[in-house]
Amino acid sequence: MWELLKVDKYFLRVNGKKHQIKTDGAKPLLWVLREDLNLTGSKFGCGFGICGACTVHIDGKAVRTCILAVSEADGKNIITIEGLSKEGDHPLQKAWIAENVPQCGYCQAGQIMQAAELLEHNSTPTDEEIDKAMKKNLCRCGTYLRIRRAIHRASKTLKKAKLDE
Amino acid sequence: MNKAGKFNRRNFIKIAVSASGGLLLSFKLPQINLAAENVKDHKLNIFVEVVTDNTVKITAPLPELGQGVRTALPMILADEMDVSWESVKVIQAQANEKFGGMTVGGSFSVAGYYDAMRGAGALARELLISAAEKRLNVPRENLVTKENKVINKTNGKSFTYGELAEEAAKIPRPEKIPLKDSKDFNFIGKSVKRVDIDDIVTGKAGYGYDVEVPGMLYAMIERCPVHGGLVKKFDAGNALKISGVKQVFELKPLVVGGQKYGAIRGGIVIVADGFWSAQKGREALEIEWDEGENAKFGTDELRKTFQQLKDKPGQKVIYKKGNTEKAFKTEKKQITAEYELPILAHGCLEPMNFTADVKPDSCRMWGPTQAPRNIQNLVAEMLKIPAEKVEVNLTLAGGGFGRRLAYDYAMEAAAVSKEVGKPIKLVWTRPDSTHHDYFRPPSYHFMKAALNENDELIGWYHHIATASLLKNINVGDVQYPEVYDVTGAADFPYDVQNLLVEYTSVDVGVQMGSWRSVSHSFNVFAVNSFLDEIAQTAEIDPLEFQLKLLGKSRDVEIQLDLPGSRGKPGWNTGRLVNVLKLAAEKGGWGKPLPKGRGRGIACCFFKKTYVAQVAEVSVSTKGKLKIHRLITAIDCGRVVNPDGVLAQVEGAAMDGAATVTKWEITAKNGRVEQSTFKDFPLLTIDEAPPLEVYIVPSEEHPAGTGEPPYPAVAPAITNAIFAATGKRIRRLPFKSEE
Repeated sequence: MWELLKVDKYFLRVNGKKHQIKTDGAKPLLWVLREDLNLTGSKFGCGFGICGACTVHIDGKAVRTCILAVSEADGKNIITIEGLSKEGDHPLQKAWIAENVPQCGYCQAGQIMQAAELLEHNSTPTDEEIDKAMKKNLCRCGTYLRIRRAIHRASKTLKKAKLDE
Repeated sequence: MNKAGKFNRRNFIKIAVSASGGLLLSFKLPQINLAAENVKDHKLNIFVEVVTDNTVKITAPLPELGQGVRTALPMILADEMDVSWESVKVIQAQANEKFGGMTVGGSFSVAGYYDAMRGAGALARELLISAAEKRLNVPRENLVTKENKVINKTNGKSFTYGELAEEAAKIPRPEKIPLKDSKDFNFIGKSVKRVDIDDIVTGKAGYGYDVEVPGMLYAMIERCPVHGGLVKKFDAGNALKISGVKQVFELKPLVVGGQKYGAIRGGIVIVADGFWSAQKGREALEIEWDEGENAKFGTDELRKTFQQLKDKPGQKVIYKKGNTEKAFKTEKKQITAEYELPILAHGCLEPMNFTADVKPDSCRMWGPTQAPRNIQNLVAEMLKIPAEKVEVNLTLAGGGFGRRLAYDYAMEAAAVSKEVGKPIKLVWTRPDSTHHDYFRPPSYHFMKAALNENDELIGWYHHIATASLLKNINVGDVQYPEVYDVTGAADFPYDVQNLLVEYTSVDVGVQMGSWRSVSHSFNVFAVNSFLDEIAQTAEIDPLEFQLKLLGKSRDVEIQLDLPGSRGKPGWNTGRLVNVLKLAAEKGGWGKPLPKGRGRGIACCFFKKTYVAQVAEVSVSTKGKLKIHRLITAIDCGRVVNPDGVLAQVEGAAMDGAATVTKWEITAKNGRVEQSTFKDFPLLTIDEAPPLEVYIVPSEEHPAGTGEPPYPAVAPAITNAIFAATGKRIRRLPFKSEE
């Protein structure tokens, strides 16, 4: 049922910065980010990979860090909410503000990271595509309708930016 | 639509002045230097400091759980004080009796602090005008205020608030503090974005789980899976072998001051250098429990207990009018029904946690709570130190919904920090937060109605059986066990000659607590479902039936044998009729629908807020519910931040939908059977019903919006299910495979 922790060295590139971490390889990446690197934007909601509050990007993919052993992230490129944009001005962050999405806000970093992955692959998602991509990110306060609107809004900004290029 | 508003206008101003006078005791407080050089801030009263650079620091007296008070309350003050919103910096109050109760509950925040915030803003403005009067040496009536300036309207000469702050802070408080005319409001009534939004979308916002104190250790507690169970024996040997685990000890159960909201359940504490090591250490513990009495508790058995109450009188008569016995003896047309609602968890996304640093004669604490002053007082009592030696700092909270009115986890943090002698972040996991919630009580409703030959409702009987909230949160005997369990039913707003509301409290083997709208959350379902059943049986349109029963617009107040405001509930039937009509109109009530769809309507009042909902649904052949439209009409008095009201209604509507389709806590052998969002699932984005919200313009005093939009959602949906399918839902949640 229990085993002693096996401490080893891991190399992570987080938001463009390299880190060497000495820790138990089974420790979920979430706790390395939050406690070792003091990046608390990724939240602990469930610890079972169900709610999505801990979502970050690993090599461009949205991943649940509360169930991902740090050893699995060794050598990978990690982007957290703190590194999504330099000035907090990613089109999704701006859209989230424009739609005044959050209530308690606890799930929102995970929601934004999940939405960012969606827009990377599909810059003009339909409602159904948004629902499919976002339905594993839970919000207890009930902000889903605003989340959907914000993703459409960000999608429009991205489309416009592309046309302007 | 807002006729009633004009009535109370005079009253409203009077209350405003006296309430602000009561709260603003100290306006002469020490000046605080800001980090920036040559910039000083000057405290004009407990809520306002004006900085010489013209920044206005406004203290938000209540904790933010997502309900938007850190935005709405400062808005009220800023508006009254005539400052630009851009110049406002919101400061979070620490627990302090100067800020009043500080408890977030009962949808009281804006309703209860509106007058105080206006008063504080008005006082600050008056002091600044007095300072300008001295400097300019002109009559006061020549001075006006606008956007952080006092302006001499005869020549346009002005001083900024920043320039006047030092002088203003020395001026004694004036006798009279005039309030603005509502037509001059700048922000009140306009949507303002929540003040924390930039931090939330960039991950900088600080929640309890994010607190970091130098030298801090983490603690988790393994509690008995059965409520009230005790540690028989334990072996920490293996746990202590885990690297990072510092200490393992038993924490004995403790209830301070008879307040079970602050109960330490006891268990085995693991102290470690991080979440992960604490978790691993916890898994390695070996504990034998003495599970106690509650090990026999199960929700299946509870159901039988409820069912055995059928046809029996309640333990207590709550409200009696006319002669129901006679009505039920003489009238031929009678309808009976039973409704059943489950235990519910809160499911706050941020699990419970608090950080405490206990020193020999003081204690500092940080975390998410709805009851900061209760923490301050109870921790002080536990540590046997004065309350002012307990500093409670409020972080953002990842949801509350009533769960964080209990502060058991904060008491645990203080108790563990005391034992360890170091700052402790006491963290709960998701299963901890589910198993050891303060649950919404289950309820069973026995209803009976009598109609006369004209199909008029002339007899109403409602026997509410539930687990007394008061008995659950207090130690020992209580005088009014039903006090938190009967509103939404005993304050029956419909005009029926013969009325009897009875009550029975049953024992439940898990801990009960407050949950969004408390007893409204179940009683309103029973009342609105039954009204719909009666109307459908009598073949009367349910809306027409409700409108007829509410009658002409009038204020009603009744007396119940209950302490405080719950003993004299009052309402205006016209405002309830208004929202019913508005929701019906917007929902196309009475208009033809596609085949297979149905509409349902329900309403309630909660204190001085009136809400009606119309749902339009269909149910697939496989039994899957689809909500096509969900319309809310709400009259909550004057609206401070309309987008904030919308957010609250949106949240409540989603909760209502989840109540119908998903949420249920069950227990077996004393153990709560659900652990995570897998078995206590939240609504997902693809399940979110489309919402429409209509706010009634009003000049009445602001009333609450956190709870009132919730209770009528579920019956509106289930009444719509009946209209669509002919199937009556009398037990929640509605399981699609049934």
